[in-house]
Formats: sequence, structure tokens, C-alpha cells
Amino acid sequence: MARDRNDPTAFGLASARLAGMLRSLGWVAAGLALALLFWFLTVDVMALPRFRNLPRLAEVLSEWASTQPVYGLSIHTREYYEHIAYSLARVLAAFGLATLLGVPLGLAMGTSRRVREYVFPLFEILRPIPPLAWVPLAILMFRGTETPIVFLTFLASFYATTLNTMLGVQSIDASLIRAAKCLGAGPWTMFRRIILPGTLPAIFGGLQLSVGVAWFSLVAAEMVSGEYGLGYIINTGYSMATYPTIFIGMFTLGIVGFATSAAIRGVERALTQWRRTSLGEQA
Amino acid sequence: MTAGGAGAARGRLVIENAVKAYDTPAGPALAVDNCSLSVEPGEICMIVGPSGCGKTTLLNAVAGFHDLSSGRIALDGVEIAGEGVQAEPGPDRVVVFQNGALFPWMTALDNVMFGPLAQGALGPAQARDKARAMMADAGLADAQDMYPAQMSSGIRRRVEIVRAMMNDPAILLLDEPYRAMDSLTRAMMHEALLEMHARRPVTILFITHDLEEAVFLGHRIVVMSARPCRPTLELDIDMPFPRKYAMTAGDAYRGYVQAALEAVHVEAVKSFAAGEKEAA
Amino acid sequence: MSGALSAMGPRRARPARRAGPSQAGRRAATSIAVFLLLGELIARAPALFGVEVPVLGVLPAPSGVVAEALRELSDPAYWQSWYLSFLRVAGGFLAALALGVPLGLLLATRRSFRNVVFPVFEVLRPIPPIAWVPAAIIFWPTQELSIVFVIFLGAFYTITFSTYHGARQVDPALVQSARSMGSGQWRVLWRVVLPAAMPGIVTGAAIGMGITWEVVVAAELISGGSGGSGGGLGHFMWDAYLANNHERIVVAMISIGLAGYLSSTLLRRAGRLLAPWQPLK
Repeated sequence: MARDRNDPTAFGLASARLAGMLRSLGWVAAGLALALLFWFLTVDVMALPRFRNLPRLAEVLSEWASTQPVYGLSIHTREYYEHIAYSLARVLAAFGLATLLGVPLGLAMGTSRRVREYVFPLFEILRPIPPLAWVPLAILMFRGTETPIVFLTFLASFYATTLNTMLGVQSIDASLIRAAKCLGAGPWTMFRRIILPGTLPAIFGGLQLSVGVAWFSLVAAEMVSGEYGLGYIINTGYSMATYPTIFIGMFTLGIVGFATSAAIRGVERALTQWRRTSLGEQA
Repeated sequence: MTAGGAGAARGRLVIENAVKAYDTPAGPALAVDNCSLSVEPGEICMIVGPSGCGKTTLLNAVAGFHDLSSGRIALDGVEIAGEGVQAEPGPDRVVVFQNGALFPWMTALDNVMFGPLAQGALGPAQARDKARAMMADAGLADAQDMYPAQMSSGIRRRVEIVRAMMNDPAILLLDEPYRAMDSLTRAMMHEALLEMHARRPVTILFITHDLEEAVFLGHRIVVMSARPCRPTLELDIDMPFPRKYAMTAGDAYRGYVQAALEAVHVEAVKSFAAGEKEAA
Repeated sequence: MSGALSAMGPRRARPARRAGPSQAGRRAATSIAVFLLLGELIARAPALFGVEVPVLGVLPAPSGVVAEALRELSDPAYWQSWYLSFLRVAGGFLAALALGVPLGLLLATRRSFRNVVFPVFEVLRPIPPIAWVPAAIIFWPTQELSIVFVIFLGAFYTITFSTYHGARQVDPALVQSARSMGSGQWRVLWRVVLPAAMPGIVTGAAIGMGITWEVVVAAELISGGSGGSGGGLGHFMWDAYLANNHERIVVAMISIGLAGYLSSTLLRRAGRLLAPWQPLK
């Protein structure tokens, strides 16, 4: 293939991507700095009335980084990582299950009018009930403390994934379906080579939403009932008046949540190479 | 006048008293009313008419995307639409769409190979070879491994036509395929289409707004009335093939364009007065 | 050109198409009926079949839930819960609208503002509103305010983002033609950008409303349950749990779902009134 001006070399592409990543990291760093500055000013420097009750930024940061944390949690303690591991494991389990069940169901509802007409009404009726409203029932239904938490997280995730997958199927350009029919595609070929690849971007969009929603529910569930995890840290930080721990928990939550979203974005990039235009942009 | 040349025996389309009505809250709305038309094998038949008059509906009925309310359509003697016939699209009447319908997640080559593979007509290796050959014939060898997002619109449309021709269709249905292009690209598309037709004289049913395009490409122009659509004028274009752009300066060409323009204008005024929305 | 067409038979009227809204309605009714029936059977399994269904057996029978619901409807305390929760939701949500819409518009139109504020937003976004509850309780003088604050947070992000995206998608040609006709900046914002962004804002508000109810329940569960201000549907549900009244738990769940659905619908209706010129998604 002749190499023309628009055809980027591998190096060119890689450095463009790196620049993009650095740029967004730069944004994040800037935002972080500003938020922290605001905190520092209001609590440490100006000591505004309401803000006085909050722990000082310096206190939180030093606690987070210290080798001998006053309240027992810092990046040097083992418990810190245990809590992270618990939360992460729960999210992954719930998210994994939700994806395994939600994607096929969404695909079925999107493709077959019959399935959709039977299943969607039930779906829509149960949807307005917030996952957290299931807490009492979850505790009654499942024994132990882990399963209810995973169940609640699963619920939220499942809805997001299924809905987005179904919408994804329905939003495939009708011309593509017609073209495939003209070309003689039977139902299985249609599904495997048209609907599945065509829905992939929407599926991933749904997965990103799904993981965010999963964290949302998980933290709430952990705060209400649970013995480990980031939500638990935040709650105990409050109930035991070890305030800096609250913020350590919140920060960690932000970081880990961001990381899981980024991971999904990474997988999506790898699987949908075809969206790149010749200049390496997302189509 | 038979067109195409010796060996083009497939692709005779006969539309007889086709009627298509839609159910709307305000009662049935006619899109196509008592439309009769026949196209000879190998003929390039251009359909023109005002916006929204129902030309696409007619084409969709030929393609098999929906049923007719009454009347019938037959391709090479086999009924493809009409009472008692289930409308079914198929590789004998492939459509090329206005905004293009290449599958974005497949390379050009995979797109072109799709038809025979999906029908089980060819094995993967054979399909690949045939696709490579046909793309090379059409001058598209360089585009084989590109994704649609990386191609220009002209290349995309040409690939789509090769994809259609891979299935050896009896008739090629083109629904304003070059509408969204600038005139330079469109001129190249015309050349490419006529070259392809010279090599493989398939019957072509081509809907367009562009009268110049219609006269330049077609053996015959059919002017449709305002909605509901029905042929009001049929014009045989008696210019020799292969068509060259030099002909567009000639009197014959200008004469045909003028005649078509007058016929369409009458219908367009009716359409405009009725507040017809342009087809999307 | 005789072709091989067979003679046309007499014209038959096309039968009315079976598929359509009525069929969808029938299928919906069927699946809901089956669902309820199963629920009834599973709940009564011990009495009917002598077997205890493992996980789902705990759930109350639909008939029991209906009976309990009827009882609650005549209990003023139940409606009091509705009222309290609605108050909190309204407070937090209106505050989110009042701050979120202008902020979204500013972010969309002023580049320098966006460069400064946007990153802060993005960084704080992954933290779920629930996680803010303890911090909010420390910060605000009353528990009530902290609940409303968390509710505010829940809706605020969504509304701001929807406004931002809605405003960004405004056709620049609209803005330019307004400018060329002599409108000043604020006028353009108020008369062109805001109305054009309305559908996006309303959609975002409806989604934000859903999140709001989610948060209300959580906030009431976490803080309201321990004495303090109490009340509200979340508290109602928790009380039912503590009293081991399964039917009442489900009634509470349905009430919360209903409340969320009603508020979203109200919002969409209001949106349609405010922006009648565009179909809302």
C-alpha cells in the first residue's frame, strides 16, 4: 500500500496517543491541585466557621502517607490494601456477573421483538426501585454479609448494562441491517457479524456506566452493612470520629473508581480499532 | 430498445399496477399509486421526480423491504412482490444506499467478501480471491485493507458497488447513491459506474434528483409524478455508449435535459404546493 | 414483453396486522401476571408443597403486599413519610438546578472558566454522593441540612453535565445569527443558548432525579435511622425491616420506586411545557 501523507507511522501514532494521555493527566492533576488548594485555604488558612470542623489537609495527607498512622490506616499499613481488595473484589464479582447476564439479555431484547415485549415491561417496573431500597430484602434473602453487598451492587450494574446493550442494538443504522439482508445474511450471520460488532461500542459505553454505578451502590451497601471495604472505612471513620480516615477513604475511592473506568476504556480501544480514522482519531 | 448487449439476458423487471398505502392516524396514505414500469435486461433506467413522491418506496418494494398493497412485481418472470408473496430482500437485487452501508467494523475486502460467504455460495479462500480480483478490476486494490472510516466517500461508494456485484445480481438498485457528493467526485463515480456496466451489463434501477446525471447515465428516464408516484413521462436517451463528458455540450444532451426538466418541474410545483417535506 | 405473469385474482383486502401495540400490551400483561403468580406460589410453597424455597422463599406473597399496601394507604404516618422525603428531594434538587444550570452554561460558553473548573469536577466525580454523607454530617450544623446537601450533590453533577453538553451542542449558527442581529452576550445566553439546551437539561434533570431518590433512601437509612430527624420513606422502610414486617418492606420499596417515577414524569412534563418546540428524547 502506497504511503501517503495522511498515513501515520507507528511512532507518530504512539506519540500522539501519549500526548493525549498526558494532556488528560495534566487536567486531572490541575483539578486535583485546585480542589486541594480550596480545602487548604478554607480549613487551614482562613479557618471559616463551618469548615473548622473538618480535619486539616495536612493532617489527612500526613496520615495517609505516614508509616505509623494514628488511626491505623495509611498506604503503609496492610489493612488499607485489604479494604481496597475487599471493595475491588466485590465490585468485580458484581460487575462480572452483571455483564455475563446483562449483555446476552440486552442483545436478546434488542434483536427479538418477542423477547423485548415479554421482558421489558417487567424490567421497567422494577427499575425505579433504587438498588439501595433492596437492602432489607437482600439481607433477608442472602445469608452472610458478603452476598447481600454483591447482590446490591449487581442489581445496579445489571440494569445499566442490559439497558445500554438493548439500546445499542436498536441504534444500529437500519441501512446496515438492510444491506446485510440484501447480501443474503441469515439470522445467525446477522447476529454474529452485524449486530454483535455493531453493538460493541454501545456495550462498552454501558459497561463504563455500569462500573460507575457499581461503585456507587457498593459504597452505600458497605456503609450500611459490612465489615471491610472502602465504604466501611468511610462509615467507621465517621462513627468513631477518626475524621481523617473518612477522607482517605474518599480519595482512595476516587482513584480506584477512576482506574476501573480507565481499564474498561482501554479494553474498548483495543477491540474497536475500526473506529480510528486515518489520523488516529476516534471516529 | 434493448441495451446492454449480447449475453445480458437476466434482469427483466416488470412492475404492474403497484400500489402502496400506509396506515396513518388520518387514514390510509398512498405513496405509490397504480405504477407500471418495465425494465429490459442490461438497461440503465433512471427514475426522477420531486422530493418525497414515493420513488424510494417503489424501490424498497422491488428490493423486498416491504410488501405492496396491491399489484405485482416480477423479476425474470418470478414474482418478488404482490399478493400472496412474502417480501424478502435477496442477493439478486442488491441495494446501494444513499448514505452508504459499508459495515464499519470490517475492512473493504471483508465487506466485499461478505455476500457470497453469508450465503454459503463460496468458501473463504475462493471468496477472497474473487473479491481481490473484482476490486483490482475496479481499481480499488489499494483500499483492500482499509476500514470505511479511513476511506473517502468516493472510494466507499465504489467499494459498496463492488460488494453488490460480487453476488452476480440480476438487478442493481441504486437509491441516490451519489447525492451527498460534490460534483467532481460524482463525475468520477459516473465514469466508474459506466466502466463497470460495460464489463458486466447488469440491469440498473437508479433513483436520482439530478437530471444531468440521469440523462448522462441512463438508457431511459422515467419521470414520476408528485406523491403518490406514478410514471408521467418516459424518455429514451438515444445517445451512444460509451458515454463521454464531451457529450454534455452537445444539443442532443441539452435537449433531453430540457425535456426532463419541464416534465419534472410540473410535478415539483404540485409537490411544493402540497407542502411536501423533502425525503430525508 | 408478455412475461409469465399469472392472471391477477380478485383483490383481497389485507387483513389487519396482528402485530402492534395491542400485541405488545398482551405480552406485557402476560409476563407480569406470570411474575405475580410465581411470586405467590413461591411465597406459599411451605403451605402448598411443604417445601421452603431457598433464597426467594423469604419474599412476601403479592397478595400480602397488596393487603399491607391498602392498610398503609389509610395511615397518616405513611403519607407523612412521603411528605418528608419529598421535601428533602425538592430542596436538594432545586438547589442543584439553581446552581447546576448556570454553572453548566458558564462552563459551555466561557473557555477560561472551563479550563479552571472542569478538571476539579472530573476529579471529584468518581466519588459517589453517599461517600460524602459522613463528611457532610460533620460539616453541616443539622442532620437535615447534611441530608439535603448529599441529595443536592447527587443531582448537581448530572444536571451540570447535561446542561454543559446540551449547551455545547447548540448549533453555532444559531448563536452567530443572534450576534449578527445585534444581541449582546447575556442576551444570547438567555434567549438562544438556554432554550436550545433545554431538552438536554430536562433529560439530565430527569436522570438526576432518579439519582436523587437513590440518594435520599441511602441518606435516610444512614443518618435518619439513628434518631435525629428521622422520618421519610427510607426510614419507613428501615423501620419495617427492624419490625421484621416483610410485606411492609416491599410496600416501602414500591412506594420509593413510585415516588421516583412520579417525580421523573412530572419533570418531563414540566420540561415539555417549557420547551414545546422540540421533541424530547
